[in-house]
Amino acid sequence: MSLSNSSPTDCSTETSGVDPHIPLQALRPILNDMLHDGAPRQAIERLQTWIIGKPLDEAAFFLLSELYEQAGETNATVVGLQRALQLKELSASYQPSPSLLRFQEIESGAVNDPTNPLFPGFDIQTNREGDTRGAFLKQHAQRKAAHE
Amino acid sequence: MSKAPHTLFEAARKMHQTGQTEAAALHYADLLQLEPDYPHAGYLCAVALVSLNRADEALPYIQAHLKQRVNHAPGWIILGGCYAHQDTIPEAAAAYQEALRFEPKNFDAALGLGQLLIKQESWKALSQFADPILQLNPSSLPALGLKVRALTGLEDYKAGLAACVDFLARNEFAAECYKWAQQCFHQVPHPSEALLEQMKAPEHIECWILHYDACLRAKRLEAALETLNRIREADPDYKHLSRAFIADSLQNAEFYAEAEPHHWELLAKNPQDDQRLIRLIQNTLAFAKCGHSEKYADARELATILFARAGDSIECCAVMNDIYMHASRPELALPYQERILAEQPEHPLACPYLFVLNYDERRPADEIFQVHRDWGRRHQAKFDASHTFAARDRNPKRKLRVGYLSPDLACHPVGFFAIDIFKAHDPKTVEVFLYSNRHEETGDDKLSQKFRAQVGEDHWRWTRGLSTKKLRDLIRDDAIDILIEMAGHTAYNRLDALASRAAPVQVSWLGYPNTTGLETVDYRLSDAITEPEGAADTRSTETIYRMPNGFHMFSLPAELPEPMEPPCLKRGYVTFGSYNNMNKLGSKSVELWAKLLKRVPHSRIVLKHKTLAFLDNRETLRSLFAMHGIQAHRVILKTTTPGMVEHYHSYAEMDIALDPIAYNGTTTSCDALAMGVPILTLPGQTHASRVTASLLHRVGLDRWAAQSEEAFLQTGSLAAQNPTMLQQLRQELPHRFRQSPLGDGPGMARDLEHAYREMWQTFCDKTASAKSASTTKND
Repeated sequence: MSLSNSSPTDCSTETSGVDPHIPLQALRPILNDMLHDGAPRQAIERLQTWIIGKPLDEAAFFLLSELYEQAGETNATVVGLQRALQLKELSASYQPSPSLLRFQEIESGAVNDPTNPLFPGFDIQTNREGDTRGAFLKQHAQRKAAHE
Repeated sequence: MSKAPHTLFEAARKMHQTGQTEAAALHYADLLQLEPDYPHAGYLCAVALVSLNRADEALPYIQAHLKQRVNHAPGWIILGGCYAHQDTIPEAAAAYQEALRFEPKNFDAALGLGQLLIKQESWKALSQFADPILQLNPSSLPALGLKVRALTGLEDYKAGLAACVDFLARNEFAAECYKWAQQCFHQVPHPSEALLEQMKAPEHIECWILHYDACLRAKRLEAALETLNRIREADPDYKHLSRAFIADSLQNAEFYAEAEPHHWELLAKNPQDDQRLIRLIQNTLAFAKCGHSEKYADARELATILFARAGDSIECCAVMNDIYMHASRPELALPYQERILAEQPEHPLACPYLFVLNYDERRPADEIFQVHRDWGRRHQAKFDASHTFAARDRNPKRKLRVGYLSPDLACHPVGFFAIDIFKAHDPKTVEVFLYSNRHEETGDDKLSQKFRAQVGEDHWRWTRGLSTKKLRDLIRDDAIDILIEMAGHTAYNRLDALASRAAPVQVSWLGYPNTTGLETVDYRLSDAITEPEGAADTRSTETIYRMPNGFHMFSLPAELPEPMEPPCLKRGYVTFGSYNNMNKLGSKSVELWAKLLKRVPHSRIVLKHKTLAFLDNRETLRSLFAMHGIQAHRVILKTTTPGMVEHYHSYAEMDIALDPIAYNGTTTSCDALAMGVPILTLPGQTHASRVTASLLHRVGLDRWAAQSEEAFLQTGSLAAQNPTMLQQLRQELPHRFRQSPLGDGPGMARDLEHAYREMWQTFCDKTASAKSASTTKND
């Protein structure tokens, strides 16, 4: 799963009225059992409860559309599939946030060098340059270009 | 063979001088047994015993000494100290006064008297007393101490800070004085220009740091950075001023863009510093909230890193709570709040948690009540609420002094509900005082100024930052008979004042859709539709006072546009809509609304709120609707409109308003009705979920309050098929609104005055019967 779809609830969290975040793979057999028992609607509701806590998960929507299909709900099947594809598209166009990139660089030690300022053009003594994001993106692009 | 008195005295003095105080005291005592009148022995014995913290033993010695040397001022001072130790204040004061009679400029005697005033918490007297002492001894730290103690006792922290920096500007650096300055500074959120100038004067690096922080608080970034440069030059190695302090102070002063690089520099030095990562996330979230919506994704992704590292920590839970609250997903934030409060019941989230519970669509009303009541009991135990107002005139018919206490007497929904009611209060019946719990320096907006003009400066009080005791005393000194708090558990409430019984009759109204949980709040204003008699009464620590015509009156802006045609006439399909706070839009509301959209083919829904500027929030909503079979193109998401007029114009985008299930709209519902848009609501069991039903009743639209989910869907789908009716309502509703209690300020003022009179009558009757019972018992 891409980061664009990740939310901090990836770590299991019991929420009030919202499904505990067991991994989707772990939910599958439970849903299958429900389908075997001839209760596709129950399976749909179970998965919906899961999605409330993690609404940007494309795989969940693919699964939901399958369940709708089994329940014979054609329109909802199409909508579920469309949403899954939209989320997939969103995920494909995902760019890690500048903060995430910066943190990853810091952790890898790439910028852990006092002579290599995090914000070129930014005078930390005076705080004169305010566009930290712009400065970072510029720096990041330069580094990327140099690397390539 | 016993020693000669002189030898004993000299030995004792030597011991005394060399710090063997206990041995010295024994020697003095021996000497006095031999020769009770030996000069100075009694005095020195008492001095030694007092310094050993044995003032009780010292008393007879010093008394005997003063019989011999009645004009010995230092002796009187020691006597004063002995009495003060025993808490016999009048005797102590008399002793110090005697000392001053013999030595009018004796500083120790004056300090002793000052200490007595501190013991008595006579702050005004101490302030008047300290000034001349400080003038006589401008370099005396103890004299300054008296003055600062007086000012902090009076909660005049600005003056306390000014006194300290003035002292530091004129004297060598004194750590104690700097500490006092810091303590005062903590209580000065908005330093004035004059204070900033004063703070600039001392030539000590510590004082520059204080000045730097003060400039930030006053939003004077340029001046702050100028001082920061001065500090940097003097302190290039960050010995006095750490980078962490710079980062945090910039963030605290809401200079998020400026704080960010400092956080990053600190993290670069120590990527494992979770506390710094937390500060960065909080900074990024706050930045996102200030119009930089793209920052929300940054915050969320950083939170993912934090969660992987320290998911179980309280701090991480607090961050996760912030992440979800910013995303308007209270149902996901609540478990984090609960985890925090389970470990730390007194965490600052305790009040916000109660508020957020009202959004929870799945939480049973009884459970929400229990949590409020439990909080109330815990909170109540911190205060003494036993005051009985025995001296208060209990004439049930007299003019009442009424105080409204709120942080929202300004451009805020509460302000718009209250302004025309307060304006219409009958001055023959009630004398109104307004207690505004806002910052005087930043909170006095246009509406706040209107409120102030209504009551006059002598009936207006700024209360933000006042301690509980100070606020309680202020309200008691104003002799308020009926105190109405208007915030409940929302931000900057002053329930502490009510918990400490600031007025004989205390009421909660308008600001909060639930019980306060406090038993010291006697009444809560509501109505029979919002809280029908029965179960609601068992879920309220207050007596519910049901107003005959509802408890809302909404002031419409002068520039309210004329009602526009329902858009379905041109579009050929119906658009449902909700401009409510997205926190109110839980997954159950989405499910119900999705069912309605399915029931009405081709219909759309338009949602508008500022948090829909965040991409995550928009996509989340699209997913929640898609999950129930609603395609993305049917869900129109809009972010905030630039002004009120544009906001009202945006009602041209919807035909029928939908009301969130758990926590109804109130302001939003009034806005819709005033613009001729009917609202479809599904009343639940709680006040929060029934308010719109009450508003609908006022304008004769009771049937739009559905009694079941099916009725909701039927009413919505039938209305969608009836554009003529929707058009008619567009024209009629604004007029009905103005003619209804919702548009009748004077009517609501009379209803309130009647309610206050009844409450006062009950109070008088109760106290009369209690008195009579007590008399009978005594007989």
